[in-house]
Amino acid sequence: MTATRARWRRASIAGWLTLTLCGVTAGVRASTVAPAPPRKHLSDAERIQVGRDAAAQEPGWREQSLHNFPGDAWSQDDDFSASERSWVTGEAQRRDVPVEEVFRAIDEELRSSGPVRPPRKATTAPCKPRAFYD
Amino acid sequence: MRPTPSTLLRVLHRIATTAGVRLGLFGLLALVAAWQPLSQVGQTNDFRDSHLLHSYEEAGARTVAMYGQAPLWNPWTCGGQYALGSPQTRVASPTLLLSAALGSHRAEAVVLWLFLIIGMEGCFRFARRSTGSAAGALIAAPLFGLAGFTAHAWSLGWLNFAGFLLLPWLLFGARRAAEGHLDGAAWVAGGFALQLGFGSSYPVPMSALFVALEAVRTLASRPLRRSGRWRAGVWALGATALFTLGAGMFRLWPLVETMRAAPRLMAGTPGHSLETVGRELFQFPSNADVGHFFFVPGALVFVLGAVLARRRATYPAVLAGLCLWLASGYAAKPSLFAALRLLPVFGTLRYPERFLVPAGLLLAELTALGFAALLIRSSRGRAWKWASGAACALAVAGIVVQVIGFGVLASRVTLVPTPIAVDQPFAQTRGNRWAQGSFLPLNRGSIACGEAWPVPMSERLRGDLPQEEYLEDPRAGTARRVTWTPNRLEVEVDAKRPTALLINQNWHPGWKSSVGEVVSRDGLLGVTLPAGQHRVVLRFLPRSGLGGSAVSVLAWGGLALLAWAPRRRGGSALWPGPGAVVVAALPLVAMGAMMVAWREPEAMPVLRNADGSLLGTAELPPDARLIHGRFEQPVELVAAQVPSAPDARGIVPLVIYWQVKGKVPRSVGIWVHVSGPGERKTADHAVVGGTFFFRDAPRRALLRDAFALSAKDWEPGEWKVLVGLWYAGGDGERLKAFTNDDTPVPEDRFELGTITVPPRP
Repeated sequence: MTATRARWRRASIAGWLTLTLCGVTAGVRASTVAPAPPRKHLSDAERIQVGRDAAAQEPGWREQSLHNFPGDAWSQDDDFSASERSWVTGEAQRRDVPVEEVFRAIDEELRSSGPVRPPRKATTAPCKPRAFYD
Repeated sequence: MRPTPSTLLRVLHRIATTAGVRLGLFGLLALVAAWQPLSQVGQTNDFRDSHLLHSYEEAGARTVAMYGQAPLWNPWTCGGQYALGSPQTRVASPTLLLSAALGSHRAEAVVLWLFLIIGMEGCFRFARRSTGSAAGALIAAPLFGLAGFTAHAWSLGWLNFAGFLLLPWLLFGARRAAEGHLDGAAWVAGGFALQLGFGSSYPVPMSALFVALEAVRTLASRPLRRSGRWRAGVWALGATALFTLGAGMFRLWPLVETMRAAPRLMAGTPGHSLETVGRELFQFPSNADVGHFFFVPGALVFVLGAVLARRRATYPAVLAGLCLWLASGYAAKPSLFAALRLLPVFGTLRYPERFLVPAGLLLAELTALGFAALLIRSSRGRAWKWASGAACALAVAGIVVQVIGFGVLASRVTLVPTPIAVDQPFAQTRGNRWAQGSFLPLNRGSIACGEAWPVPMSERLRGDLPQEEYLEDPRAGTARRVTWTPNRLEVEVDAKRPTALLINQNWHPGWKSSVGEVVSRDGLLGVTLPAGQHRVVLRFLPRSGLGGSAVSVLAWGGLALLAWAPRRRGGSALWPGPGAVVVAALPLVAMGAMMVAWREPEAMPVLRNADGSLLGTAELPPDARLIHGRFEQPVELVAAQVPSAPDARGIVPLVIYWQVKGKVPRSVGIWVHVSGPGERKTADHAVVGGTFFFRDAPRRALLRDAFALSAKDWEPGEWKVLVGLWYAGGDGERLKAFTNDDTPVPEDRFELGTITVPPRP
């Protein structure tokens, strides 16, 4: 009986050690897993060009959104954002740069040409999700 | 059920009841299951919801780690948002500290690992308590703890759904509390507090429902009824409910305050056939969009539970059946989900299939019962011995398959490189909610916002400003940012005359200023200032967040008081009894006092149509055509505005004026048919102005329901606008329509006007 108890006590200690080891392994694995290799950045001149390209596309996307979601200001802006994101992803792939580089270019273009006037916008409609949007 | 001398049972019982061995096993299983997620955190989940939810966590972690502040205000999303009032943020959970320490991406997988263990241990305790078998509970625990839904949620970035894994702890606590144990109150209060802090709008209300049922189940159980202890149980449950409210007030108060100002609305009639529900529950995860729950290993055994332990199996089997009924949504006739949606809070639930999560816990309970019943018979003869041995082998194999299924679901994630941070001063940008995670590393706030509720936002937010803090009248002087942090801003103002300082962020009543008065300028944060030189310090000190936290501290203090109060012969002097209820109520009384003493402006909802125009109006415009149409329900179609032709951009804006004069079922919606040459366009909508159902509309108020259609592809000619009401969420029948003098209207519809589409140029 005593031997059994001692065996289970040892098993219990081993269990706690296993749990601790698992925690350490999880922490170490999460902390050390390698990020994606760094990619190249847009130069200042490229950023200006990308910003201008996006600005040139904007009226078309806005017009499309107006008809996709007539009378729904938030949905129109959201639809515009979807078009913009799709373009940004493609442009980032084409130039082999991270997407945030392209978004940064758009941000800088908006700031440098502010105040932005219609049909372009530097604002977005307040969030008013459709009651059911699947 | 007492253990028998069977070796198999003895060993399993020992493993199950030795906490170290059991938790070591759960830790190992969780590590294997979470290995895929742990290997993904060097990159970013590109799913849109992940962008949003992750940026919330990243904002909170930044606020703590970089600015040493509590994550109360999040300036990086939607133009500035009350972090505690946003239902989907995880920032009020202790796991935020892990995000601050490891980085929010890397911490997520560790948090998942922790929650998997919590889920398995919770299921073990709950199943052991309800079945009486430690060995059965040990086998059943991974079936719930490693349920595929958690992995599915991970792949979409919905880590906050791991809060469901606290459900067994809540049921376990409710049972303990009903039996008169003080620790039960602590488990329930702590579990709900953690669920609330961890975010998401599903786990808390759904858990509350099952906790209430579990409490009733325990009170009605034979031991409590026979011993008369059910009376003490009622007091204990009352006190537990009050403690839970108090302990969760750090988040409940901000949430209730925010949702009052910006109510979330869910329409639609989602439903699933029984076959789909079954496939969701049992099919092994594949590329098909089913099999998100995956309880098949349990399914092989839970039938045994139902057969061998019929009496004990009744409750979980019936409740699991109710969960399946709920999960089928509106496809079931009658629909239990539709009935549940009539209750406050539950009306905002969108996906009925999430009731398969509690169904999984109940199936796990049945599985535990099945094993217990088999193992206890294992000493009765060779056949039973073989059967129990085979069941154990099957269970182990099932757990292995469960772990594999978890990995398959967790690997369905689209990964992209994690954005590199750019060190620049904070500013708002137009942003993009589909790629929200790209902006925070740039230290840019995304004004573009895609939440599931109408976040209070200003239309005056801009993404092209030369500076984020400026004077309303630029000729009145200058403003210069001195310091910027999420919860505290310092701006130097030199004003030649009285003016307002505007901040390019949303207003919230929690903002306080050292000088002048904080005001809302069309929802934008502003401070009115007298002439002169000022150093304006703006601090975000929301009453609901700070006051709610104080209430939560008091609630835990009260619980500690009961635990350590002078005891009389084996029990607390107050617990369980009326005294405990009084102690539990005190923090809520303190909250009431706080609400009276600490005044704060109230953010009132501004009801608008989807086009931004106001939903309410005092009178009809002169060009509105009077209709005065009535229906079998107390709704009047008062008037309408229909343009004679589309506008220059091909848009047809329509306005209908409604008046609700009595109680209307939730299912009543509006159908709009625009019939033209050879075809028909529709603009049906169940929700008036995208804001509320007729059921919830203010009575007697004139409602201006504005919507539009695109006539871009319409054939030239005359198009008639026909409108009526129908039971959109019911049988689909039209409501009977009448003229003002009670004459029935043919086809139950009103013609509002005619639009002439000109020939294409």
